[in-house]
Amino acid sequence: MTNKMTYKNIHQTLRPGTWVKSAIMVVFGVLLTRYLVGSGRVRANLTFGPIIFFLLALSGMFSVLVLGIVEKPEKKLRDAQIYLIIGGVSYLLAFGLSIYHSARYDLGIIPVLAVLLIGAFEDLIIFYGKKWKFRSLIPSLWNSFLPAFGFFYGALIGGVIIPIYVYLIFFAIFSLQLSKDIVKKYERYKSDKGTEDTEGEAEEEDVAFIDLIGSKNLQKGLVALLYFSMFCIVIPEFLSLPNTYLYLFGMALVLVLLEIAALLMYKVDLGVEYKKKFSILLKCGIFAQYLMVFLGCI
Amino acid sequence: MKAHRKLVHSTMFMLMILFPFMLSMGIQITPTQSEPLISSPQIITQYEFDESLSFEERKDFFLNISKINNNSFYAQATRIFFGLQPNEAVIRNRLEDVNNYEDCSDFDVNGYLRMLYFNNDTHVMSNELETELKNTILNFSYWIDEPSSAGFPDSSDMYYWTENHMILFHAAELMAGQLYHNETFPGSNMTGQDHIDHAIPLIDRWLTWRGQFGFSEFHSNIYYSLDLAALLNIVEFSEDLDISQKAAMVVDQMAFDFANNVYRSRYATSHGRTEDSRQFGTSWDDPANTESPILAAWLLVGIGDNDINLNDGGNRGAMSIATSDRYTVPPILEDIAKAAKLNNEHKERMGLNLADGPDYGIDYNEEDLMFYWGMSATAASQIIDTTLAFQDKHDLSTKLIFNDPMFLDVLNIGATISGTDISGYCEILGDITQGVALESVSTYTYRTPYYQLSGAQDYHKGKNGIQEHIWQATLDHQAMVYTNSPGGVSPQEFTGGWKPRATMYKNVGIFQYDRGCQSLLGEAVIAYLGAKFYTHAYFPQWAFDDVVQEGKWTFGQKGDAYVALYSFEKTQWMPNEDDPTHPYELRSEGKKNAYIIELGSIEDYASFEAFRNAILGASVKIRQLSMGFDLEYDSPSRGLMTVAWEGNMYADGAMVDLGPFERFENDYCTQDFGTKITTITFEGQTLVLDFEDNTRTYSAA
Repeated sequence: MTNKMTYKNIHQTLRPGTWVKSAIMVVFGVLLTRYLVGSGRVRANLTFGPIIFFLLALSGMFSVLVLGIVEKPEKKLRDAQIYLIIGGVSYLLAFGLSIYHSARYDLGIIPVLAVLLIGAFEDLIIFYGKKWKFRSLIPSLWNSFLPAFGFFYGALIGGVIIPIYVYLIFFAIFSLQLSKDIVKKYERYKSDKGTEDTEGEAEEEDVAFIDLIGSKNLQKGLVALLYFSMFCIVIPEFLSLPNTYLYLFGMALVLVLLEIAALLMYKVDLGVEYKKKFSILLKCGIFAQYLMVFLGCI
Repeated sequence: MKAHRKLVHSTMFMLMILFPFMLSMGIQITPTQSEPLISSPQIITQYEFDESLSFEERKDFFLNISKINNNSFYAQATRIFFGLQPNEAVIRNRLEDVNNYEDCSDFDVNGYLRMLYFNNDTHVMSNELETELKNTILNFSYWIDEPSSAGFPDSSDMYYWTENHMILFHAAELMAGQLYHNETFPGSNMTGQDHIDHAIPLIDRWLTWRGQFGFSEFHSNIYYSLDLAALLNIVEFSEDLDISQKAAMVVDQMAFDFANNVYRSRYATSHGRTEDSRQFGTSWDDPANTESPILAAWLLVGIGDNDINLNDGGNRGAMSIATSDRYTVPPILEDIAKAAKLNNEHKERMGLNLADGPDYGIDYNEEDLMFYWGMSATAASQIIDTTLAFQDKHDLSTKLIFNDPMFLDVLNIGATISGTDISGYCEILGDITQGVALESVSTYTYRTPYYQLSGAQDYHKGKNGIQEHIWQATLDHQAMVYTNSPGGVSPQEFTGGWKPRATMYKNVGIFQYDRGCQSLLGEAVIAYLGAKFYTHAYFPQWAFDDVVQEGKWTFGQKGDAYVALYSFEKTQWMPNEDDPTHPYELRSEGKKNAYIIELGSIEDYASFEAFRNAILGASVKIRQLSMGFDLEYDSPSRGLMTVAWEGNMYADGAMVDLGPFERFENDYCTQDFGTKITTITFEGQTLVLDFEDNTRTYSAA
């Protein structure tokens, strides 16, 4: 890893795709619970929710970027301040919008607390992230948490008791995204080890993290995460989703992809061989999962 | 001429004296065959309202206007009734449409038949016209299941099945069958007797449904006039006197409705079916149309005032009443109308919920299908399968049944993508498919000398409707206020649309607009039909003496009556091209809104300003819920009123009756819903309408 933050580094850390994904997941969260909410509130939530969460995701990913600079004294602190300001401004915008949204439509305090929770996590990352031994997981955790929590937030702003399927899908999105991110980390780790090529961009912390828990445990953990994700995907089919019929098709596709990925993961010795198809399968699984949630909304 | 008028008046006077006396002996009112009254025409140019007239005098009054009307279709029936030469060109004008089975031909056929029956006595029609009419009647199609012969137009473009069409077709079939008893009707290859045998059970069924449940097209300020035309044809001309009697009893119930709900010459209550033109006007030059049943209401029970258009000699309902000698309104109904004219609190329930049909022996099968179609429930989940089977059996067009040729395709696509059948998808689309059904409605009316607040209490909240009008506050004939949330399957602005949770208590009403979300396909269809992202109030400034806006309140004054309307969301007056200084539409963006209405008068407040100050000082607390609102309004006249989207309404700590009401609940009648005996009492008089034994009994102490 070079000391200089290239545009590619910044882009990879900030992950603009996550901002968009998070905003889209808010829409899914609103739509999936819309039968419990009046159209007046749904319309307001579809207007404000994605904007708020886009800004939150943006500020969240900037906090990761700031962490990356803060913990490396050799990097320019001025950059960190700029990123901190950008992140802070976008967070304040999100917070202000959330306050207006809640006050204007009588949503209560819960949506604002959810935004505060994101803010608290950001503070933790910035101020305490570097002290955590698994800190290399933070970008992955954050990248997985934001879209999943966006979905949850979409349901939350409806102002009703949140149905069980929302929790389940939240965990499904989170665990699958996290699996994919970890696999990607491992891919970089293996790539670095195999080729000694810095293009793999494996951070020292990635190496430390994987060495710390070991390939075998990582393998077990990934399989467990995938099965947990599958479990969380299957149960909503039997609950009151708006469209369980179309959800079923999406669910079947996700299950096939994840099952193959899980079996492959289980069969191979990750310490000996890594298959690129893990990553591809999980990427496809994530896409299919979004499709599945969308189909459930129809 | 003078001597003749004197003679007529003397006869009327004697009848007035004798009729109540005869009735006071507790006799049953049974129809008899009677000769029509024939008078000479009189040329009178100006008519003024006179509330002292008796039923027979009102009829005479109307007939004098009707018989000199040479241009109106229905007035020609009056002319024939009187033995006057009709304007045959006017009569012929509609023949082509009827011969081509155009929709609504049943309206005119009932008119033609009445003319032909009168002509049998007076013989004033030319032979040519009589022959033309006979051919039309013989060739007409009288019901959906009628076999059709080659060479006749396709009759499947006619709506047979709404509540009013049903009775119009059945009445026409009976009359036609009787008139041409032994002839074969070439259109159907049925004889006159076959038609009589076919019509009578259907008429009996329809009358029994109305007697027991009231009208599904509740308080319709369009179709009641047509219902009356059909009913009075049955009363007047049916050779089956039982059917005639039952039809008269339904007319009595309608008269009772008029007595309780008509205010300042407006049928000033909720309507199951109406249209914009009856409900709103843009200026004094283009006011809201006179509602067609109003003249009939005046004829029946004498209710009304100077705003009635007494010159409408072509009003079909009124003509049918005035030229029917077999029907006489029981005097108790006229007395109630007088007594209730200035103060009345009236509760009433009409129609059945779809889910309740089987409890009353009305199943979701083909035999009872017309009950549900009569309430516009063709696409309700319980009914749709039977509807489609019936459509297939009789090769009916989709547009006629569902109002839109694409509707069935939408249902099929929706069912496919939802992994269900059509019935299942209709259930998913329940806010629309059930929403358009005219289910059981509890209507509430609160009347004072200054205003009337009336509407459908807690009816179909959040559901979509086609032609419903949910509530209105009426200060006079044109000065009225109501709200609406247009959109969905209704193309109209001020009627139909998304129904509110309407909750009323005496002079205060709270109306919450919101709706549930639909399937994405449903939302797409709603958007395609015309998404209207606003709610609005009809508040015609031109019809009020003064209109003032302060904060979220809009106040109106008409004479000594005051109205205040609160809108939770910000409102703006929409431009009125007809009268730019006096707009009538108060619009609020968004589909979720809450309105509060309070009415007052000089009796309660020293002035309009005092009324405004009292209202402005009242606390209003509104919290938006996921669906609807939670409201607290500290009314100056009724104390703290609380209501939300769900649950009860309270006024000053007491629970408000939001229904379902009984069939009738007022000072004159208490009848359990679903029973078949209506007993109306007032000042020693009693009217019993017994639909079980088919007896109509009036008695006076």
